[in-house]
Amino acid sequence: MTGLASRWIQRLARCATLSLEEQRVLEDATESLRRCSSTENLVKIGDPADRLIVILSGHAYQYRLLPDGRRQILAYLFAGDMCDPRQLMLPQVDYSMCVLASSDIATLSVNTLQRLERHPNVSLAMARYALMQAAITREWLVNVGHRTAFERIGHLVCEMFTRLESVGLTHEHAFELPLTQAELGDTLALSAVHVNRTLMELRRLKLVTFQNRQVVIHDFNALQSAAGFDPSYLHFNERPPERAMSAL
Amino acid sequence: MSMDKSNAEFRRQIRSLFALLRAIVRRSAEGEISKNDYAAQLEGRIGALARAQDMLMRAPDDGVDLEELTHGELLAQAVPERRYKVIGPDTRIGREAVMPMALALHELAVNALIHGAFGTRGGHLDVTWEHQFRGGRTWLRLLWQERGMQIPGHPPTDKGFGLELIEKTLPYELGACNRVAWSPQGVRVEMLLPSEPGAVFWRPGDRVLP
Repeated sequence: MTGLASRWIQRLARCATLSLEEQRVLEDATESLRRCSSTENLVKIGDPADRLIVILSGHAYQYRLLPDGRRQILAYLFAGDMCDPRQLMLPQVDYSMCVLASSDIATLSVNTLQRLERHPNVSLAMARYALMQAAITREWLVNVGHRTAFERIGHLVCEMFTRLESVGLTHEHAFELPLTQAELGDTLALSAVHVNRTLMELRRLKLVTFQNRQVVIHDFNALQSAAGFDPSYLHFNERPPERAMSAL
Repeated sequence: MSMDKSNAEFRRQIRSLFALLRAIVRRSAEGEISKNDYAAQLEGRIGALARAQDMLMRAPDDGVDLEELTHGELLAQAVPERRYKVIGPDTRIGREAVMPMALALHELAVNALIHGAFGTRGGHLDVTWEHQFRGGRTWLRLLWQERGMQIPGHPPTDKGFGLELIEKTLPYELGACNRVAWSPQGVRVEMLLPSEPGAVFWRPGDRVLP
């Protein structure tokens, strides 16, 4: 499995054991992919929820805009991530979505998704994947609700590193992240000035450096402890309980 | 630092933290106040100490960045960043001064939220500071200036915890010289704090290591 779909399949295979046949079905489903250029809008709030977007390579984010232009970034999607498949059960999409850098995007129709979900392990993997994404959203709520600016940025960096490492997108303790300070601010409910200040402090303490679209973590353990990052909410190292599997 | 020395230092810090907590618990109970309000005030003050302690623990010898501490207190009160400005040169706060300063900024932020600039439409806050040479010494001059009050502010009828902290405790513990004034625009607090190498406030680069 060397195609562009491999990271998505790898990501889903962490949620449930997939047979070779199921992996092939997933790969076939991503046949109609396209290359998106940086900052292209993939979805606009209110669009009909009639397709599932999978990020095969690159970066994307989901966001909401307030009437006066303020923006909240709701989630980042990296290579191997997809939108919540359950969104297709509702008539409309309730967020907008944009790519951050040139990315390969696969768009699955409702029919394709229904065909995939006839495979019980694929269906289980997608359900568990969606729950894991929801757990990240909950953690973000805690982040912007109660953590200090320093903890918010440190926590986000630890989370991104852990997620990207799981799909093989980190090198040593660095990863690519084409984010501006304004985008970081809109993710963490901080002003760009405040973000800038906090990044300086993180660099001064030799914990993290942001430069040239690269994030370099100099001391992961110290950063993790300073930010209070506990990766258990990502559910990466758990096997699904048998009971939950047979119940579905 | 040897084990004994770092242990002694740790003990000293914990003792002074407990002393501060005792003072907070006692002073928060003064005046007519409901149990719920008492608990909420106490939790707010302890929260400010916890945040400051966390900042300090990253590298205790480096102290804490004044701008981060100020932003942190306003952020903890969920004040939108477009309603205030924090401007001043890089300034570090030494460990002896971190807790009292955190508490003072916390009291000012909460006061602004309940009685001041953030409790009124269009109210705004500027926190600015500079280092000045006066009377043969260098001082950190910090100005907390609220603006845009629609109902003129007035001095409180009785002096609460925050006011006493700023007018009495900081001068006593940090050698500060503070003034609190009420104008129709809003409250104005001027703090003069000793700032020089080896003092409790300093500019990075100025510090003479012991």
